[in-house]
Amino acid sequence: MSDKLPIITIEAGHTQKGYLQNVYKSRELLYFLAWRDIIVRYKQAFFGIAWAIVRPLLNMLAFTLIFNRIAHLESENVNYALFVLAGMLPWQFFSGSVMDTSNSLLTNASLITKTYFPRIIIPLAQLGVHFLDFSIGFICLLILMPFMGAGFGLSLLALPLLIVLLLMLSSAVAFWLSSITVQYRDVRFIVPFMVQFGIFISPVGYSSNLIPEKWKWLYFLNPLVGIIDGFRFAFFGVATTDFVFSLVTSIFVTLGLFISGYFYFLKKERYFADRI
Amino acid sequence: MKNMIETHNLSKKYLICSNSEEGYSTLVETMARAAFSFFQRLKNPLKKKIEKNRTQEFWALRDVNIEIKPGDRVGIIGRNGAGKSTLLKILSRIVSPTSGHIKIRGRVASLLEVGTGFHPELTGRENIFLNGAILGMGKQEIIKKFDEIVEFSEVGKFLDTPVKRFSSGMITRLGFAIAAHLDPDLLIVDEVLAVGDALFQQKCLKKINEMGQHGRTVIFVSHDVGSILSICNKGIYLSGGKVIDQGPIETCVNTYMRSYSLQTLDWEGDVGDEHIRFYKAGLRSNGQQKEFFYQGDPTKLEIEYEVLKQTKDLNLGIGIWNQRNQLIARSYTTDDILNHQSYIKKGKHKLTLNIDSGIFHEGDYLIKIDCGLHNSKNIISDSIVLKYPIYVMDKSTRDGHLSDRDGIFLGKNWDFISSEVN
Repeated sequence: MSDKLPIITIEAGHTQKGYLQNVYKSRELLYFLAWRDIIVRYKQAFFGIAWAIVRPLLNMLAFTLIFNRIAHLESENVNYALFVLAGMLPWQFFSGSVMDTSNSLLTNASLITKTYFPRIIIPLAQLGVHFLDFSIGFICLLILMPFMGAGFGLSLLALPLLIVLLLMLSSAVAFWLSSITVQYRDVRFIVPFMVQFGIFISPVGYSSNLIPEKWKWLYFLNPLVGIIDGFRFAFFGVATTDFVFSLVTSIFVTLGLFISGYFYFLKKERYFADRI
Repeated sequence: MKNMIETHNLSKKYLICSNSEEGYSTLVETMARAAFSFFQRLKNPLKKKIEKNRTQEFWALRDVNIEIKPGDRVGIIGRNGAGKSTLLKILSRIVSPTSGHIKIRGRVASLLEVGTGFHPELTGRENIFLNGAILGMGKQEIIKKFDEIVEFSEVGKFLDTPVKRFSSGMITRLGFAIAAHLDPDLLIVDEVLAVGDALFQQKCLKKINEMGQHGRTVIFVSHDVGSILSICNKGIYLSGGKVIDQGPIETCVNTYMRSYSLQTLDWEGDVGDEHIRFYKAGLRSNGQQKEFFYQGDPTKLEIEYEVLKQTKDLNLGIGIWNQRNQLIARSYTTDDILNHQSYIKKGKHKLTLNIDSGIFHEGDYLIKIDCGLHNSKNIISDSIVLKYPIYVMDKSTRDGHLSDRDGIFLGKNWDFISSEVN
């Protein structure tokens, strides 16, 4: 029997071959880690898992009140609440997952120093937790739409692509930030600030049409602009003036961040247990 | 490849920061340092970086070459800081080596800590699944073994209680139970047996032995030479990050004990007074050169001395002391009342005393040679000290059955009075 056993070779200074295969093999661990974080979050809470639905809804309510009633921002002829909800959904997912994933390696330090598995699973599992919130919010939005006077169009077909793009962007940022945090704890203080600031440079509470023409190229470098505009397009079929430009920029920026983030993570992963 | 593990010139280097205590570096520090060295280079382009002497290199492992064959139960021994844990971490792929390479065959499970990743808020049941997944079990596998795990852990009643309300003993038991039901080709265990009560420790040792029986390879690290001797058949002795000895466990333990213990089995010198001088003392066991004795090994103590001035009050003997510095056994030449006078005649003598090591429990003992003039003078009492470490042989443990280690060993001299075999 022993002749059939697989042989692993570990060589100094090289990332192990078949890393992605390893990740695939550990998919159950990914599931369990995500499951742990979801369960733990609602343990000893009276309303339990119901918070998972209520939380995103409360958030949207707060947002609608602030931006619509107080700030009176323009929403391209779509019901403002829906307009905000459609932007909030990707934004909440992005900001929430970035906050948690950047810290995820530190909070799981005991796993990293005591067991082996592809470390990339840790931020990915954290992403999974937030994706659950996202999915719940997403379904809520779909249910709300007909009641608030928005119809379903063919543009909805663009959603899967946009969700993949959003997932890639969030994991790209997660790869970068989580691996940097292992060495530089400063990231923990920078991230909340970035997230607070990020909501103003992304078209969450307003339309990106409000941005002056000459600054648009700079504005579009924020990959979230294309994604959020994309979500609004998918839900309501209305496109901003430079929609295609913003989406294409977003795709390229996201791909760049994703690929570089992945390899950066792999390069640093070898030293996590030593540095954490 | 026939071996389960082969390493070639495996080394691991750590950098020790001498200026900052913790070795954390912050972004600001790094940037400041980068800027500093940039300006230094602007001022003096030919000068090498000054950075270098701020950090010190430390080799936790240096050129380690080991081979582990299938079915071996390998004990890794060495003092604190010898590199044992680093080696285990590299073999478990937690830490990556600085140079060299390793080949590992088969599925590895490493148990560097009991209950890794237990979440205090989750119940026992939930933690079994989580921890199982962390150790590399699939969901189906855990479901299949769930009942066995629960039974082994003895925490069945508290399965649905959050682990934060468990006692530390319960957490340990649950943790080990999960790990024990892994089905690896290679099991790596690091001193986890130091916890839990004696009964549970035996259960763990038994389980590890069973794994060995089924052809699994086990790597075991412990400070406790006793449990290493009872589990392992091969040994690796590390010191200062290097492999000092590799081979049968008994020779490794020999080398190890010779290097760390202050006392030896032999003493040579010249102490005494105008009545008597001692030159040599030593412990032998069946003529074999061993740094320790198994419980039951016949032990011979030899003493060489010279009586310079004969007096009938002269008395010599030995005391055996335990680790708590309590005298637990003694024997004097006066006890041999018929021959006593001949032992203290003027002249050179070589005496021997047979000690039955079966009457001692496992432990490190000291034998002190004691000599004095009856009721008047103490000639020597602490000048000649020999070590006398005793371990339980437990051949039976190694064969998969666990026998009780407690009690006095009465020997193995069983014989028939009569026997009828059909």
